[in-house]
Amino acid sequence: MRKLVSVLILATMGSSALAQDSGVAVVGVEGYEIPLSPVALYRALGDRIVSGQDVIGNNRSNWSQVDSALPSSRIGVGIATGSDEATLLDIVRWGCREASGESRACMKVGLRQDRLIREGAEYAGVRFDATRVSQPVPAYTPPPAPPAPTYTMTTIDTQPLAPLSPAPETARVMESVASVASVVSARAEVVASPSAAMMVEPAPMEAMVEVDSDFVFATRLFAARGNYPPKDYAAYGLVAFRSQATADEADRQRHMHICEAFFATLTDSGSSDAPVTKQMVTVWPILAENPSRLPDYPENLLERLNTPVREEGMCDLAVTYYDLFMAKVAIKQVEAAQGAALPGAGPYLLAWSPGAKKGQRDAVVLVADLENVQSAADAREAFGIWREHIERDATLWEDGFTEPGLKVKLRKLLDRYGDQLMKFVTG
Amino acid sequence: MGNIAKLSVSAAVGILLGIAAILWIEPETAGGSALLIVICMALTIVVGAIIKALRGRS
Repeated sequence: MRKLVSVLILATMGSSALAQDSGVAVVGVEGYEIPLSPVALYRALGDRIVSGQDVIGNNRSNWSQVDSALPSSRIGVGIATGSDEATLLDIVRWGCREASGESRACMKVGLRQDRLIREGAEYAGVRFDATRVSQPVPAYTPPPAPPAPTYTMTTIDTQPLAPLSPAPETARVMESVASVASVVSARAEVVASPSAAMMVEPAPMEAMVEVDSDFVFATRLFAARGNYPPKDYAAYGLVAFRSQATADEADRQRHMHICEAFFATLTDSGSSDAPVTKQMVTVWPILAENPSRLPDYPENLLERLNTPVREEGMCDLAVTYYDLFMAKVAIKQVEAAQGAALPGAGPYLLAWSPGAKKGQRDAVVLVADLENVQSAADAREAFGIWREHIERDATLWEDGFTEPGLKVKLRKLLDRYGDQLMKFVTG
Repeated sequence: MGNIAKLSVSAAVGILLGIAAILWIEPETAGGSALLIVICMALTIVVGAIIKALRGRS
């Protein structure tokens, strides 16, 4: 059974709530702080997402989509008795207006009740997944005098948790507890003052890079022919365009947006602390070095691209030296596995599980169509959904007869052969 | 006539089983759903026939 990581997040909302950021800060048990902007809070806690004329239900469960420094597990927000839920809602709607510019539609945005836990609910044993903290976050400094209500955010964990000892009503206490897989853990209890929570000694950073064995991480890799399929990975994905970027500015921009989202949303495979068997790698195919045909091929291109940080001009190179042939091969392999042509003009995100099964007809194939992706925001959102899908449905990528995996495999088989049968019967 | 009646009972059980399987597997195409019902019907008819044969022996 999939374990869900827990995290304690403490949010204070004070008079600064309407300042530059939302005034809501996420604080890990190790004592560092990640401030959330109103937009981030809206994406996390708003019950619907406003996008142009469209309003869709918000079912994001990965906090890492809201802020890449946060863990991917589900997080709830606990509201202390007597605090003002309306203020939280105001900030969420403010974030909505900032994100969408649709004041009217944003007035209908409410709070996700599945993430709200009133005080009195049992608080979970917690653990901060700090592998996603790409850089040290400054230690939390208690606010001078928080006059406003206190919110406590915590992950919703499906596992039964040890009961907490009774807490004093006026003090927040955190204590380290032994954890599975040596990951930093702590137990939290609800109280009044957030500053008291920060009295806990921050854990050393090196202790935070342990990875829970149940997670699958979506990573990225720029690879040339011969480097793939990377057999050891949990799953293998590929960004597949149907054509190279043309001289047309809009077309090239679209390729660039997708490349930038690829960089921004997925973590670099080589820099990830997760073992490759727990990585679902998405590959951007790059032409192999060929001095006779590509005399201007940049030196150490793959090394330059496979870094955790995007630098100026990287996407330009990645788009210019995109290996269209490998993309065409991948598209044909997916079409063969599905028994039908991929609809639309693409590009696509294609994935096989396990990685070594790429091209085989019995592989589980995941397809995301990016045909409607035009802007940078579209691309980021598409990759965010892709990452969420991969990381949340980790069981999909595991071998063996796990129920979700079996279900997906059966579905794919039925859809493939059922459609063929229907076509045969109906002529 | 009796055989046909038993066959249709098996087929009806198969349809119900197929509907339950559709709810669980959630095929994305109509063809997938139809195939699932056909498979379930075939399965229950075969199982029904086997049970009948076993009963006939004893």
